[in-house]
Amino acid sequence: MDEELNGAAPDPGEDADDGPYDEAVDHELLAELAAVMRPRLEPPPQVLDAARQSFTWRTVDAELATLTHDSLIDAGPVLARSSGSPRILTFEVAAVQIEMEVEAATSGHRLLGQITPPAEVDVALRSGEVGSGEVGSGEVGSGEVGSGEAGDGEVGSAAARSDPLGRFVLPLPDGRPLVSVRCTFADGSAVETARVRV
Amino acid sequence: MIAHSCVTVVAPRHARSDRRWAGRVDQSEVADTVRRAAAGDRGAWDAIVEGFGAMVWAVACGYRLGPVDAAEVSQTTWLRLLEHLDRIREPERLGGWLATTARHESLRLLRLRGREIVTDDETRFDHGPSYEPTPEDLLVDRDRDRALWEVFARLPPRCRTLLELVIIVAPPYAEIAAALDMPIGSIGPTRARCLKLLRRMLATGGVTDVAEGR
Repeated sequence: MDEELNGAAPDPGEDADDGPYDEAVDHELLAELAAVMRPRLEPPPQVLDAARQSFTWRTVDAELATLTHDSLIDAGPVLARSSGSPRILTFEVAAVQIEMEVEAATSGHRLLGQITPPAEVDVALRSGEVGSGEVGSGEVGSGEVGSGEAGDGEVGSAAARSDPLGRFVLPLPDGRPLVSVRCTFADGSAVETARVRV
Repeated sequence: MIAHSCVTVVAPRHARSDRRWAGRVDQSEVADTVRRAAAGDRGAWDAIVEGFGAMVWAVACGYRLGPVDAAEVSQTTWLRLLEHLDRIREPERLGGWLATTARHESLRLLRLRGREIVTDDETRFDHGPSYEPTPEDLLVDRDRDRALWEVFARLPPRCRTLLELVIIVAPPYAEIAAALDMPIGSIGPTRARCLKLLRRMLATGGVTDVAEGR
């Protein structure tokens, strides 16, 4: 605390010409700086538009599985930077856990998933950018093009079904898509993962 | 360095001066707005974006992200809020939550791009070179403004980011502490040091150079 307090005032020995620390002078300079800088710090309009538009992506008809582990962040910087280790994402809600690995292959990227407890469910990949109708490649291999009941700019881009062990594979669009995976259970209930860029 | 600053070099013509900057929204009002947005009130959501959009953007820009990446971080941060609207434990501290989330999402994106910065904090906030004045900047007719802008651009990156956030949010700067991952108690002293540096640079360089350049 002492250090912080001392740090608040310039060391008088360092440059005597500054005179004693005067907070009012700081506020004056800050106000002047704010007048010059504030307009320049305004985010581009499209950034704010996208933020507003994202409200249409609210998931109201499924339970949201939040991201509880991302190897990019949680495995530590060394592992995260190692291109040899795949990215692992874990999403959880209530008793359901969805673990996914991003598999990079020359033929395209895929999501390898595992639902726990294991269940045969319909899985659908959703991708797209907020505020635009744009989606990544709709080419989905063995999957099928999903329905477009999602929010503005969001389009279901692949669908599949998990095997009895709860494993599934979904093709990923090119680039760095923002995706979520929706799992629909036999009783009609659904769990959807948080969106994440992969 | 690939990174470019996403600070607008040219001030927009129609910059708004009546914006309710992050932190200037009454705290009880924030909590209520979060609750209304969680209940589906789109106007409440827009008000949150209006209040905190610039702060989220500034945090992303401070992490050496260019405009495209910063836009992605901003978008992901807002989606994260959307996902957590009804489960934020202390909605009155929304600003800090958003700043922390923007910091995490910046880090995630940096790592996703495989260019995570592992050196010290000073370089972590390098804005890159785009503080160069543009022809439009040279038309700014107020010498003092121009000098201030030019000198500000030469400040160490961490000073720039901190002062940008100080301009955008109000005391007690919980958002800044969250965004820069530093103790709230050291924000004031750091701010004072950065302003002192700025003042000294103005006295020795900025104004004089501008005057002589005429």
